[in-house]
Amino acid sequence: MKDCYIAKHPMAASRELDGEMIIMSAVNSTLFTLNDVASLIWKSADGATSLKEIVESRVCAEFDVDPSLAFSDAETLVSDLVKHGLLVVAEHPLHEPSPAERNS
Amino acid sequence: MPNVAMSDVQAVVVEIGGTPIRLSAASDSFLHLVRDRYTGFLSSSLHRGMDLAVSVSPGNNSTVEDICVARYSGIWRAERSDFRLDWNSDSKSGKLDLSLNAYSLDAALRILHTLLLAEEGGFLLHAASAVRQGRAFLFFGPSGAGKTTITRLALADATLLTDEISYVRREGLSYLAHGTPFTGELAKPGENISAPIAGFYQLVKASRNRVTRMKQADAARALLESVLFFAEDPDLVKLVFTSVCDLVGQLPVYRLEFVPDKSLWDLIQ
Repeated sequence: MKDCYIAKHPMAASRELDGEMIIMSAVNSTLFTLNDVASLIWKSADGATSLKEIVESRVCAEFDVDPSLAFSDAETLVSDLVKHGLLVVAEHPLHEPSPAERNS
Repeated sequence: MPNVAMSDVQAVVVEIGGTPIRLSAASDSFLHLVRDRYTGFLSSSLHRGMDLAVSVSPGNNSTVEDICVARYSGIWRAERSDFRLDWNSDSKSGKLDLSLNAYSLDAALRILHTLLLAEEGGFLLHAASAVRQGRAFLFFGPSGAGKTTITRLALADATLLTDEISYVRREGLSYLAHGTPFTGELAKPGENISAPIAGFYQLVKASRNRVTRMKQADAARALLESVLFFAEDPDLVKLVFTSVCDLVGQLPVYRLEFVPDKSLWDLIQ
């Protein structure tokens, strides 16, 4: 997969509870739970930051992982979340980052 | 069929969860059924509440089919072979056409309260509930989990709110449980009272009594499995998800492993 931009699907509702991210598909009420790395990618899915940048600047900064392996795992995660209708993916930024996102 | 004059229409107000709903109908048989079925949940003031105009049809008395609930142009429609409910959330009024039986009316009212509660951060839950010393305790789980068992074993100082369908209402940062007339095996309506919720207990039959506080994410997942939910409406799904997540951040949820004897109530604090 080439680098891409990811954003939360409007039909997905999510909440971090006690450090654990749970997501519900508003389409079919199915629940999903994310691990720490997946949760960080989910929280970073702002439509303005590329997946590669998310992996390099956030995942690799926080977890002791090999960048190429982390990117490959991130691609698999994105593919799964897109399949379940929880993420949208695009080749170009989906919107400009907000000031808060730019400073985060 | 003769025309029904307006003067023939009578009303009765059913108040569940502090929400009065004014059922008006021209059918004496229906009004008799309502008064009989919802004894203890009737309001003496006939001029209160949201309006639900009821018509009775011979219709199909089968109550085993799936319910279809969807929103069209701001109007909710809930439909099963034995009833059809149209509800306007903005005007807080609607129409109900149903077969003359208590099960159909129960089902229609449960759906209506589900819709009303969702907008206020509350929900109906497959749970037995009881009040002890001014605090409400809710015991949730699927059929066979022990909801009726735990109410049968309730101590003398406990007041039953329901053995089947609990009414959870948000008021600011606190949550109240209300009694409901919706019964399970016990076939005994709850008391029409409310109390602040002290905690939720997921029922698990076991060989010993043990209570364990659940992590918030586990609690949310467990509760969501027991929330009564009919509509496949994305906005409503999000509302219910948000309500449950808010609740588990405010109130404790426990896993209650129990053997069916009165000693289990010693664990309920």
